[in-house]
Amino acid sequence: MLVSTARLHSVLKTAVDGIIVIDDSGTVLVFNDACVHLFGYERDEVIGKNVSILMSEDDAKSHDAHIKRYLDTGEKRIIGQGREVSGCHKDGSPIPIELSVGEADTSEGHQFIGIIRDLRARKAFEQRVRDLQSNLVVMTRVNALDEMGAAIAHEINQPLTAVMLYLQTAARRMKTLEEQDPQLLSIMTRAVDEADRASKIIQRMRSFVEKQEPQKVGVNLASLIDECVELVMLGHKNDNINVISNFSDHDYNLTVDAIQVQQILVNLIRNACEAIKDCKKQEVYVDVDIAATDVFIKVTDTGPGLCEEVREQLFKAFTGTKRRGLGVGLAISRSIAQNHGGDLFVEPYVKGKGATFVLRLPLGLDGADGQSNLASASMI
Amino acid sequence: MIHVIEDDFSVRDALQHLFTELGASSCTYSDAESFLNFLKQVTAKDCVLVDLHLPGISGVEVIKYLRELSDPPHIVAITGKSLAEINKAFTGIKRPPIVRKPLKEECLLREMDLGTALNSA
Repeated sequence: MLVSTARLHSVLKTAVDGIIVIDDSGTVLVFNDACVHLFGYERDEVIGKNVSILMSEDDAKSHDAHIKRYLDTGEKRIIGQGREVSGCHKDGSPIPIELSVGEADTSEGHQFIGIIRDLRARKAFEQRVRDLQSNLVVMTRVNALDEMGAAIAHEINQPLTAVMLYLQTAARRMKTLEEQDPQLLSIMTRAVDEADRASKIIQRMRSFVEKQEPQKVGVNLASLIDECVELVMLGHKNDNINVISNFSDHDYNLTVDAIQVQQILVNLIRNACEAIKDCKKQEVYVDVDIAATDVFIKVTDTGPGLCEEVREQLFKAFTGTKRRGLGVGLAISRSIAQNHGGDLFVEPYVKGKGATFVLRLPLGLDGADGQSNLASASMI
Repeated sequence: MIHVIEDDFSVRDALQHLFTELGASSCTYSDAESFLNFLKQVTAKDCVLVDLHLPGISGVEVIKYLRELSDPPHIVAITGKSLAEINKAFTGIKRPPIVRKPLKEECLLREMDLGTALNSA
């Protein structure tokens, strides 16, 4: 008996999870060290009291009735299965916990044992991922507008240049003709004016976009990649898809606009996951090559690869074959990369190999990039 | 002679029509590679109009080649690129006159030394 008491004492002391034992009236008999840490109460503040002081107000009111109902009817509501509930810290703040309850018939009567897992870290992580996601959504929208503006400006520039020059040349030629037609000339002049108006709109769009420079800060590259992988995996929880980052140098920092680079990587990894949906082997690898002046981040899938014709179309806006989205993803990603002084491209097709997208980012000139002893800059 | 290096067919064609109308003879190339074949024939009397955003060898590279000639021609760059991209492309390199797209006749002719090109026509 003495041995088993000592053993129980040791278990209670070492357990990471909170352990509470109550009798059939709800009075606390055991309150272990993990509980002291979790709830902020000392052991003697809780032992002998009703367990309801550790609960949210609503649960506290009905807890005694729950025990009574169970003892009367034997109907199990929580016993034998875990459940997420809200506990109450000594300072009154709610604590998200997972509670599982067991029961025991002892010589001292019916007792209930509660095992309590602290969910604060998990909840905080989930919140962080949600924030990150909504951040990305907002940034993607803002960027999509900017980049679409820039893409439209660029695409329209060429035909507009041709229209303008053709018209000006035609007007010039008409003036040299022997038979003058003042009305035709006036129409031509007005056409030139309208082409000019369109040019000015394009220039305004361009100068608006040019005002927006990337916000570069030092970020930890390995963490940045890991977060991107996490974000994409959230959408593929039930698939057999496996995304593997082979870069684990957590001392390596890079000066970039973290959100923009994340947008590109999330886009690339998502595309890769999409590409391997029907494949036998469903893996996506993220690799990093660090060269003298640039960092190359490569996203490779185990899909069928991209043939030459498709590769040429990939980065043009509005040419996508996906039913969802606008087909500007890669076009935007590339222009973000170029705005960073980098680039985005696909490695040439190799039969039997998947596609590899390469994001090139230039290393900062100020020596801030690379192995750093500074407290590694977190990206959010 | 005016050499036009521009990958967009319509822009190239429109420029050629304009120069013909002005009485200047011009030669057009759709990329830097095909122009560089004729590099030796370029003289100081020529004017080279080069788009910065070319497939393959870039416009900036072409400008470097031209400047190494013993008798370099007048060079004008045309581009639809953003200011940031232009700045980056010319980091550490002297800029030629640059006309941004959409091109207008008067802006273009202002930067081109057309007197020379016209005389040599």
